[in-house]
Amino acid sequence: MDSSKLNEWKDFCALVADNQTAIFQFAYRMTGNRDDAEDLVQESMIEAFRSFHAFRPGSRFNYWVYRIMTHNYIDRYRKRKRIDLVSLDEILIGSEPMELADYTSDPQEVLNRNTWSESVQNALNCLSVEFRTVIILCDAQGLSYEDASKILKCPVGTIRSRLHRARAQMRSLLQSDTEDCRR
Amino acid sequence: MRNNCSCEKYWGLLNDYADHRLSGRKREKVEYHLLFCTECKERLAGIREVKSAIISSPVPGSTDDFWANCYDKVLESQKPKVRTRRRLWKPVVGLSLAASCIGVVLLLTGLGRIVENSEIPDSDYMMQHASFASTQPLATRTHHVLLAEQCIEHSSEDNPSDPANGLKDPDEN
Repeated sequence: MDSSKLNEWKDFCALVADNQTAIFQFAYRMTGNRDDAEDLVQESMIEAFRSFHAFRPGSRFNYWVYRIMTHNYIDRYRKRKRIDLVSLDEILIGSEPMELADYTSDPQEVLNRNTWSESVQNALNCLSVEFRTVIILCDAQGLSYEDASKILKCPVGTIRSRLHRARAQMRSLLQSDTEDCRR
Repeated sequence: MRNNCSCEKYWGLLNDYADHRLSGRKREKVEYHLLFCTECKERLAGIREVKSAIISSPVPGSTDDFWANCYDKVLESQKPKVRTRRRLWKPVVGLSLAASCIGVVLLLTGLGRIVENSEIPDSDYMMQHASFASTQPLATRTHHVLLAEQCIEHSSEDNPSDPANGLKDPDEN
């Protein structure tokens, strides 16, 4: 690495270190599990450093990373939607029973079962990507409507409307104690 | 109990009120409405409940190992990709062979045409020309006429009984 790139790297690492917790929390709330959260953070950090020359010093680094992570998450979600899903309720004649991946293999996640935080995360997982992003940015990460609108590149009115509906949905989901809607 | 129609105009403002985004007259109107409307009070309580649930729910933290690996991956992604030298010799050899084949074909075709053009003409045809040519002075004879005479000389050597071979040598005259 040449000296200018090395200085860039040092600045980047310093900014990441200051915002590590917030970045990981955002990724976890978006994805709903640790493995996906780590993948999302890693992808986003690579992209963030690649375009670090475009980051304006003095602006909020975590907001800039949230934007990258949101785009990466939405792209990944769109790819997942294209994958053919097989109904588990269908019994295929002559076929062997299907084996499912166990998302609760993480002991930490097993301990969190039936706790309030698990219910909240389950309810978040049940929201659409647009609603989940807005409610996490505004309520979980504490951003204003204006900051959220810059990150998501949509009008403040859209943010208000989505937040309103997301909260109404969350409320009914928490009341009904919905099972895991992880995608 | 208030009419729902009048409540609807406040529903949209409840989120802003919960987020402390209202000020002045709008805020006063919402606060006054909440004094008398149970439904809107419940709605506001529900909004606050959701907000606090999300803020208060703990999220597992990341490990130090994760971030160390993450930095390594970022650095790895910055390394220039090693390009393997393309094996150019195969297409070069192929092109050369193709060019050679074409060249050979053209050469053979060209030689064939040259040979065709310089071919010793038919003896009967030459006989006619030769008999005419033999009456002409040497200086006026064309190259082809001379060639025809040579042709006759060759054929007479091969076939002495040929009546055409009885032609006189023009030089003898």
